[in-house]
Amino acid sequence: MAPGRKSKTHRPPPPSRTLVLDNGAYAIKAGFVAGEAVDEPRVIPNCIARDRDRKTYVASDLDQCKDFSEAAFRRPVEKGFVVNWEAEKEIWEHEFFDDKAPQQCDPSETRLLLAEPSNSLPILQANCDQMVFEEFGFASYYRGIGPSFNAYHDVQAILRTPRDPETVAQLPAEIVLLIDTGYSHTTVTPILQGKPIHPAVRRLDVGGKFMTNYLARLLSLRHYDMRNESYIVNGMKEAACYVSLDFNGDLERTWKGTRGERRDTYIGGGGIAKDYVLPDFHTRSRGIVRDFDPSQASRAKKMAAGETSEDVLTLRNERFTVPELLFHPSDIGMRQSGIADLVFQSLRVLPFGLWPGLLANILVVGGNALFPGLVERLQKEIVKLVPDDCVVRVARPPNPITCTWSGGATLAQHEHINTLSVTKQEYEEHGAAWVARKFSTSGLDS
Amino acid sequence: MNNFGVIELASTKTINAPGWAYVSDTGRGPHRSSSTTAGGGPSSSTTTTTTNRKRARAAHASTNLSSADASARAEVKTRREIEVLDRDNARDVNIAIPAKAKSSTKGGSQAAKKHGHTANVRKILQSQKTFANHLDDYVALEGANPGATSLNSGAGNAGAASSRGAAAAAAANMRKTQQGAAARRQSTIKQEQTDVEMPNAPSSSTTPAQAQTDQQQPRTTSNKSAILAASPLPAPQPHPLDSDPLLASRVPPLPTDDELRALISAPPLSYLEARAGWTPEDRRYPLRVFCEVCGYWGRVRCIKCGTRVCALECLETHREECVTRYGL
Ligand SMILES: [Zn+2]
Ligand SMILES: [Zn+2]
Repeated sequence: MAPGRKSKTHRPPPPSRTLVLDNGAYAIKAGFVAGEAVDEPRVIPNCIARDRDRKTYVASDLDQCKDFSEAAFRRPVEKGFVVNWEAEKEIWEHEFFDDKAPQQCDPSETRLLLAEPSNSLPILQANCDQMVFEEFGFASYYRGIGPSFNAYHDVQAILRTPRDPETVAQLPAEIVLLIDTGYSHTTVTPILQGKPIHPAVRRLDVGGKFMTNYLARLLSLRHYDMRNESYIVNGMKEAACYVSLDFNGDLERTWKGTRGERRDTYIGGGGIAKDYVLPDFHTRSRGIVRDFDPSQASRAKKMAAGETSEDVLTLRNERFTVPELLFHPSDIGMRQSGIADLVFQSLRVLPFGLWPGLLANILVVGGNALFPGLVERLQKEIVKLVPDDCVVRVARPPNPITCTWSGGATLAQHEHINTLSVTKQEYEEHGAAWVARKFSTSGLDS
Repeated sequence: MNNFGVIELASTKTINAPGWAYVSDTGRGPHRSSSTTAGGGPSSSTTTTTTNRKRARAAHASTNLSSADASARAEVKTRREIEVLDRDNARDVNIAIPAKAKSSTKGGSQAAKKHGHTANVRKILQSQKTFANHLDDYVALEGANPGATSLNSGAGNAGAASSRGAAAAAAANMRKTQQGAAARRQSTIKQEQTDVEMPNAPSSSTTPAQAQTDQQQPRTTSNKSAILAASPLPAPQPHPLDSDPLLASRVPPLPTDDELRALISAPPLSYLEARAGWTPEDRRYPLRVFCEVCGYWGRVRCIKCGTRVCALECLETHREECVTRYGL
């Protein structure tokens, strides 16, 4: 990176404030870092939404929406990448640049540290860089692989490695295998010293959106048409779905049996069935999960007769067949490996000597990491795939949704960031292609 | 084109009965994936043997389904369903940017407002392209001019296509250890010999000098890496069988710093290359088939359309829909 070095000498001092952005398809995680001061990140819906009354809400205004039935969403990020800048610009301005923006900042005095997924298309990266400098005018900018930001955490603490309490965490962590399972997709990224090993990055095209839509489809086949209710169904998925540790057993426990012979587990719920009270957006703005009540089995009739004001769905195998798509995408005919095999496909292109280190340091981040059972199931399946003498440790950080962001916030304070970043002046001097090249090879010679 | 890897299922054995077929679940995965993506993309699986294909065809013939019809229909249906699952809204929606009060924007965007957008920005903001459009553009450009879209093409990296190989070739030992790893997975006892012999095996890409060093270096001393320290884990508890040569486990050597540097400087794969595939590991188990009505195992097949259901009760539910769709 000779050009970077050369121009470094006449650089103005870096901006004292950094806006750290993890610009997810579902939610933006955003907050400022200034010196030692690190904000709590805000989690902002990355969408422009329209409710049933055709009222439009931009990003965080969505919390003013009272009725989400039939709400429709426009999302600037597709497949994890900003595709529609018309909408993203509106959202960024609303959150960061407008007079009333909740996290107001002056880009000309701010550095932007932006997380992006691996394996983007060059045109989308170029568009992003051009918007950042030519439209928003940030003084300084770094665009890096989001998963690798997670190496800027005390990974051994997350994994509960026994050690001297005085130990100071090494940052970045020397070796991490990061699984990021978000709204758009699920990726596996081996990271050495904070740097992703690109050829071993693998992606599964199953993420939160896919699972929400799948749940909506199942419910529409079995209960009511929920296909236009992605907001409600998403809430149901978050509240009631889990990753099964015994898929076959759970499937047996939720089967009705034959007509003449209803199974006891079905009648009694088998410890799995749950009742979900749908939000009506008058008395109830959020759905509620309740224990299955077998005595209410006839409530569908009651409801039809207008005897109850509650809309209740009984969830049975939907609770675990939906997150199961992460482990068996082939269950719906996708010809892709599940997460555990994804890990193995990634390891297979790496020297065997790295396997023990990677397998003993697996972190799972992203919204889907919140499914109960996901970490245990992953652990169980990965152990089955790798050599017997490999120690496998899988852990979920305390907040898997903002983990990439807070790693980025630590990176923003790290000395590395000054060499990684590009200034507006450098962009104007060397052009977009140079910036793209610098980011794609950043820090490799350090 | 992304066909989502749709697979059509063919069973090995069916028992005919009026209106439905009981499907044997004993078949292994490859048998059932025998006929794939009839009209689909070039990515159709070619792993099945002729025998399996014949058997599958025979199985089809034994039912009174029109198998070509049914499989094409099933494939189109699955693909359409997966496309729908990948969308943000069930219906096409067109949500316009709300008009907002003027001069409410500050900072860089205010400057942009004063001076107008740059030509680049104007083009970006006006673009209505979807990710799929951009991906098609990328694939077309790569096809016409390999390496053109790669940022690193000027720097001697021959585009994304070779990056997988670049990483593998980064270290001569790497491939050997991978083979070692594969061998380990297959046989635990045989693996010991295989792995121990590997480092000494002549390799075309290892210079004699390097090979010499490899031989002379005891494996355990390669932990002196500047990039990676030894495993952060505490040493495992001693075990009475530790001295058993058959059970002796070996800590694989860390790659050298040069190898590690090659790994972290290898360029990214393209979007499509990074997509996880469908590997032999996935075929260890038969594909699972579910009842389309209730989600339990799909042990019964509708003779008319091939849809799987669990038992007669769900079959009846399905038949109502099946009849309205396909007639009697
Ligand atoms: Zn059924
Ligand atoms: Zn049918």
